[in-house]
Amino acid sequence: MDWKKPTGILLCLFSLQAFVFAQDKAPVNFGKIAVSDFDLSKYAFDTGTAAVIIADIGNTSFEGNSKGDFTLIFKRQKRVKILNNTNEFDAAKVEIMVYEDGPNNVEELTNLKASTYNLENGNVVETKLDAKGIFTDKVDKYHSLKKFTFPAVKPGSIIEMQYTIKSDFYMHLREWSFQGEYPCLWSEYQTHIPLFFNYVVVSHGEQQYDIHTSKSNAAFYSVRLPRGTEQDDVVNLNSSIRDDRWVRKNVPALKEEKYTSSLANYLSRIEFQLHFIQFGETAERHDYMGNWQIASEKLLKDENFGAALDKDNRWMDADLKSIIGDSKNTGEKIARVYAYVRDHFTCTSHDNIYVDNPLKTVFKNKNGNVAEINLLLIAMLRHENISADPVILSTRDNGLTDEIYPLINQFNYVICVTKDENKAYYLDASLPRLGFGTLPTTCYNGSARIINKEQPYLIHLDTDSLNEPKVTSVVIINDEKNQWSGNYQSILGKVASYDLRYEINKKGEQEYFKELQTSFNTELDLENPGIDSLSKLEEPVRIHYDFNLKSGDAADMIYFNPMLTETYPENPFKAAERKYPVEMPYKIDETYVLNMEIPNGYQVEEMPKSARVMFNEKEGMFEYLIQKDATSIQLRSRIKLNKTVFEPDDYNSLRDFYGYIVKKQSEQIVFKKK
Amino acid sequence: MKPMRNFAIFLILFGSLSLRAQQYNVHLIPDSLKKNARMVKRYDETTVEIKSPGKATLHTHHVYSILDESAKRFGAYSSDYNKFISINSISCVLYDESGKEIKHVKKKDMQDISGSDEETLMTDTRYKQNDFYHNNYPYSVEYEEEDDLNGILFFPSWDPIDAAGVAVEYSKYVLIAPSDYEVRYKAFNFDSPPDIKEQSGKKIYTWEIRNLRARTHEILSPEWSELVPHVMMAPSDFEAQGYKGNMSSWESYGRFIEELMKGRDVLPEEVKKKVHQITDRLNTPEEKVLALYDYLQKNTRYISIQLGLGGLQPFPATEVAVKRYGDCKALSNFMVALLKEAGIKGNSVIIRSGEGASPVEKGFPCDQFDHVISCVPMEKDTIWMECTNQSIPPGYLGGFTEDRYALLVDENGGKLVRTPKYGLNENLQIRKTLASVNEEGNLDANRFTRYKALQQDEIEGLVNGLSKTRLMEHLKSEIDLPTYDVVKFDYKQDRNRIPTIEEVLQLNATSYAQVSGKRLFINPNITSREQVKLKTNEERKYDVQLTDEYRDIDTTEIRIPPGYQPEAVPKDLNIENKFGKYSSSTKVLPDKIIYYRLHEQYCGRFPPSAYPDLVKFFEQMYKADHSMVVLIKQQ
Repeated sequence: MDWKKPTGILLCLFSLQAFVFAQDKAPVNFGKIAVSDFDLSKYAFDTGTAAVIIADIGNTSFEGNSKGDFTLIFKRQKRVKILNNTNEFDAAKVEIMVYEDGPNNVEELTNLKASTYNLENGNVVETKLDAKGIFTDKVDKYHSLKKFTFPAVKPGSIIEMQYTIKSDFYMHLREWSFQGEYPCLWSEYQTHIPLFFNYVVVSHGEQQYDIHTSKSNAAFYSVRLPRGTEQDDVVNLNSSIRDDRWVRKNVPALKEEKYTSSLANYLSRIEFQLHFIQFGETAERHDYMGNWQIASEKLLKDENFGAALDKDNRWMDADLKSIIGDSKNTGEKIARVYAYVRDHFTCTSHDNIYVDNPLKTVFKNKNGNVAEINLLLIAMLRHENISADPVILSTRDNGLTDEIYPLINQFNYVICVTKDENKAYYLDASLPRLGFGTLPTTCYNGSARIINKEQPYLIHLDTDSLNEPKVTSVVIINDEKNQWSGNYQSILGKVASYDLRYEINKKGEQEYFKELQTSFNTELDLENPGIDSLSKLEEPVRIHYDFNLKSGDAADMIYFNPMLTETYPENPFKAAERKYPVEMPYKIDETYVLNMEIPNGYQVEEMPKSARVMFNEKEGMFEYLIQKDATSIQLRSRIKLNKTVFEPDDYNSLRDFYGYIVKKQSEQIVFKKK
Repeated sequence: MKPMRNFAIFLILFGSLSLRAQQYNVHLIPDSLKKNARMVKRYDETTVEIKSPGKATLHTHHVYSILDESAKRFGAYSSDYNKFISINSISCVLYDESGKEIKHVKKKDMQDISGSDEETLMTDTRYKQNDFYHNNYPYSVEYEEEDDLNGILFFPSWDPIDAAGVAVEYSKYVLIAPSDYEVRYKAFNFDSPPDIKEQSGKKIYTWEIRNLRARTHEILSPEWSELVPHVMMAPSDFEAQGYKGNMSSWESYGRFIEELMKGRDVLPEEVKKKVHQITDRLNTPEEKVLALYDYLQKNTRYISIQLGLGGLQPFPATEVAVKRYGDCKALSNFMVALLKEAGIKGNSVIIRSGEGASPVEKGFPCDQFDHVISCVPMEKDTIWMECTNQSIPPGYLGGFTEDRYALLVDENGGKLVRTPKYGLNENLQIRKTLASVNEEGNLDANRFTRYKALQQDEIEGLVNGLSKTRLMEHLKSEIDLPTYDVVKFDYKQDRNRIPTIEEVLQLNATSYAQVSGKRLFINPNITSREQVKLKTNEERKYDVQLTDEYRDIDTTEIRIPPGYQPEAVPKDLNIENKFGKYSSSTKVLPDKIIYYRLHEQYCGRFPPSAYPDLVKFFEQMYKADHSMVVLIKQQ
């Protein structure tokens, strides 16, 4: 059997080794609950949970059907103990998604049984789910949810369910998550796959299986070929099958943390990708996955992807003529087309690599999903004989992709790559106010794949490549009235500039500065506020204003924080522990420069000491350099991190590093009256 | 003659089309209406025709000009349908700035969305939705919808200015009813009576308004509905799914609700037995009520399922007894059934829920509610019970349903009652902090806090809604200190009718005090700082309405390292005004700082001119709460 050994980070090989542990069978006997089953004291799990999954067992096998094909049989059994009502018995609410593709192609949910077991006066009392309590909620054209909640649930209840889903969609062999919202004592998945179906198994997150066995067996399949009015033909197939079994015991609950791009990257689960189907060694092989070359060609021919680009595009002649105008230079043409699409179209979903509508419709409607908008951009550029190709990727919140296998369903975003005589540009026209040649941070998720005829190749989009410099400078002088007056200006990085443009567009400059005024800790009057380059999208935004400081009228002592508002008032890493790496969207580089006159009539009694600390030697740096002369004080503070991903082992140092910054930046200068 | 006639028709058609296009040209909006406006209702019409107490039609038609992105949501459309409302047609049209039609969407092409969500396990209400996703501002949208109402339980009210930044060019509401049908309406901030016409056995009531300017939102202002013209409408006789009723009085409306509940209070034998097991040995009715409520809380849970008349009619008590779940109606009905078995008369009470929910208009009986609780009127007072919450103390309502009118239902019909209010003397936060700061500025603190009534609501939710581990995680990230850790915590709940929670918290905060050379800067107010700063508005049009009433008292002792002398100590501050009371005092002794703080906040309504004083009040508190003691090390 051809289970290829992949080298990608998330792939694992079907191992023939069988790890046999002392306990090889799930600790449950489904449908039979004894009084002793309510006692979980021999198990160790996070007591902070509202429920614990005692066993969750899934099983997928194949069955010949009467449509001349095969049906996937997915069976599931699950037993959960409810410990308390802290999250309103959420574990007792069940939703099962079933898929359909037209009225005759529906997944069938059968054999759904669910019961709640309570201990009452030392006896186990069963309350069965009433079939009337099962609801069907149509989500969209393709998906329905079967929903129910267990009856008679209270703290201490055991709930148990089983169901079967029959599915003809063997492209989508159900995946299995070993990990979820609740700790799980026993999570198991079995597959029984005839060898003529070849799937690649992709593992995510932690993969320490307590049991993993893989055996070859023989099986017999009977497939009925419908013949209309004549008698059906029956084909009987003897096949070798592969029986696999994965078990993880005592799996902790998944935990959400700040600064994580996607929890899905850490979730322990396995998924299955149909590689090929081949009935016998000499039979024709139907490849479903192929390699990137094949996948790319397929995508380019796909009606909902590349084929949309090759349609007759003469309908855009006139519009493009007016968009391009008299521009001759390729770079300028690209910029104009990009700006046109970005400024005139609304993106309805940033989570799709396929178009739902022809590009002509998209153009007419002036809206579409991210694939529609960026493929339209590509089509328009190609119309002008400018080379442009789609690039597919998975956004940060969507999780990492496999770099070896073309697992297209892992991708959820399309951008455009184009070039003029000198340079290649990566463009995303789906976001208003995004500068030319800039991608949103969500695209920086490791890698992306250029889809073209020649060679679909991998490009790297690393958060480590994103610098986000912010430079703030403040000047404070003694004015004519012997008051402190100052000037503030701050030049933001690309990401912060984009965010600010978004914010200003939403609430207006006036409101922005009004809110800024109330955010100051010190009493500070703001004058002549302004923001530069709000509409020059390719340039960084500059915020500036003048201010008057009310400095404790002729007090004997003046205490003054030279950082003004540019401090970290609190540690961004508040949690004391960390389970997963910290993933920042870009490299931080913040500089603050202050030049101030010592207030008239005062002298410096005390001021903070200069300091410089390094984070993990060269990975980061914080400096706070302050000096004075007879009439003035200069301060330069800079925080710079040279990378974006910090392993949990480094978390404490990172927290301490920021703790030190918070502390240092809160220090004050003391002025004393002469 | 023939061609001529065609030409005439063509002219008329063409004429009306071009007139339309012109009508929706954004540039035709008078400047006066554009002031402060983000959306202008160019045309807004609602027509309700009551055919009989059980049947009506609803026709809505509006054209909105969306002036900028902040009004984006008004360009979209969402309409629900279920067993009571069926949508016959919807048409959605998008116009550009000049009024030229760009796009037309029909009902069949609209999105169809399930009404179920996180809160609701299942409902038969679904939504038709449309969004043009147009981003070239300004533009206009036109939506027209025809519905059949199968049962008339409520009518939309006429609410031309339903949000800040909305101006109205023209709005009208037409109510058509059989001449002998009593039409009910009540106008607010709107003096002109409707125009009433009678023709062929029908009475037609029309309200109209033109050229209303946009209003701006002001913080701490009264209810929006108090400020703008609107007319409430409601049926008199009505019918729904075979049930008949009359809404003209609270009494008759209550009778209808009672009718829906009739016969649904039967308990299975084993539950009846259980009731007697629990209550027979108890002496007073109050003990019995509390014991049964405890049984309810321990044995049922809240699950929302809204099917058919289920929006109004509870599941029978038998069903709740078996499934041990239900929505608010079902659980309240079950509670009342338990009480009945114990020989105690309880009632379901229909209420509008939510903290700060706008008050029920008590002078206009109609369906203004969204929740059900239950109560037992006793000789001296009433025991109130929120039946959907398994942890709330018995007899306590909390911010969700306190201090408002609600409809108590019994066999004589309904009557308005008022739920209890928790005031200044109930809503307490009494805190004592014993702390020490060392030379590095690190703080160790033991904080004891007693939260009472509304001030304990949030904490009660956390203590009962989170496991210990999650609660610890929460405490470790939610306190407003720069870098800190919680060492230990403990909660003790006093589940009285006015409940209190006692909290003990041990924490340490690194660099709490700032060290600059030989000086230590210590804020004696460790965790009770006022965080609100009000914006200074240039212009205040509406009254100031303060709705929160509470009292916070803090006493803090901070031990300081030896060898320090005070250099600066915040001045004591005592303020007493119509908004509240604030005082703070700080004393520095050789080995410790003693700090006292009191903040009383009153509720009340004040003229617009009072706003600057309120801003100042909050500013003073903010400043005082952020003041530092400066200690200097003696050489």
